[in-house]
Amino acid sequence: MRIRLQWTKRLRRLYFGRMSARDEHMKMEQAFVECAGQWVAVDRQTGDVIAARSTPYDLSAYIKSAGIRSVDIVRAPSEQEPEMVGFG
Amino acid sequence: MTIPALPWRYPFQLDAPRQRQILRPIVSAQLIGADPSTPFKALVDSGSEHVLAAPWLASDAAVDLRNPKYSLRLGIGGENPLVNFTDVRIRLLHPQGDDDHFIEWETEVGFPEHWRAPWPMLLGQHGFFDKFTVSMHRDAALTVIEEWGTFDQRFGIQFRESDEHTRRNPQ
Repeated sequence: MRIRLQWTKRLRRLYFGRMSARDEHMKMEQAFVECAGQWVAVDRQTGDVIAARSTPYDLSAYIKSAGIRSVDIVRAPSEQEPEMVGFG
Repeated sequence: MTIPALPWRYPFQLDAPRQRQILRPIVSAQLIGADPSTPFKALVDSGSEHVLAAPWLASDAAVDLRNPKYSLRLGIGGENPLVNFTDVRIRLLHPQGDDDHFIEWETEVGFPEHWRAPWPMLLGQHGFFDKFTVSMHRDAALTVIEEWGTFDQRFGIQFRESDEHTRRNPQ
């Protein structure tokens, strides 16, 4: 039990010691509120939302044409959207 | 170019504000067809046997779905869409890296008729979990990707080689 707790604390330090990860969470939470329902491009290193569009086609076309790199796209779910608990 | 060595650590992604904090295990990935897709966040789903991707991603990466390897009806979100499977390449992108920092492999990816999930890809057992050792920890809020053989080294379990996916009868 003690070993398990130590391991948990070690992982917690590993994660929470990295401010960038926490900042990314806060930025993404804010972005999800502001861009709910839209497709957003998130900077992989900073967590900043670089662009938002209503469709993934529009967002991908913009990213490719602008030569933007190191971003990941994802749809920002809205609060009204039912929480997804599984695909099955 | 030197690619950072594994393990790669991916912070869980917060979902929309709910009654409590919801964290999703995601990684950065890219689909490689005739063109590379725009990179995206993919959900790591140990409960799925397959790697599945949104139909728009096939278009984005110029994946030809006119002659799929096989088609299956799967249960997804209470529906039974037809899913067309084809062999494509997937890149796992480093969590803080440039688009040139990746690990690439070929696998079967299924493209359903409809897609509602926020993440453009779902990484399941065949095509992802048979390529890496995947660890998750809720309190650490991390998904950690390591070499495939790490599980064996850590636990001393002699597992058999991952089965090759056998071709199924087209429907």
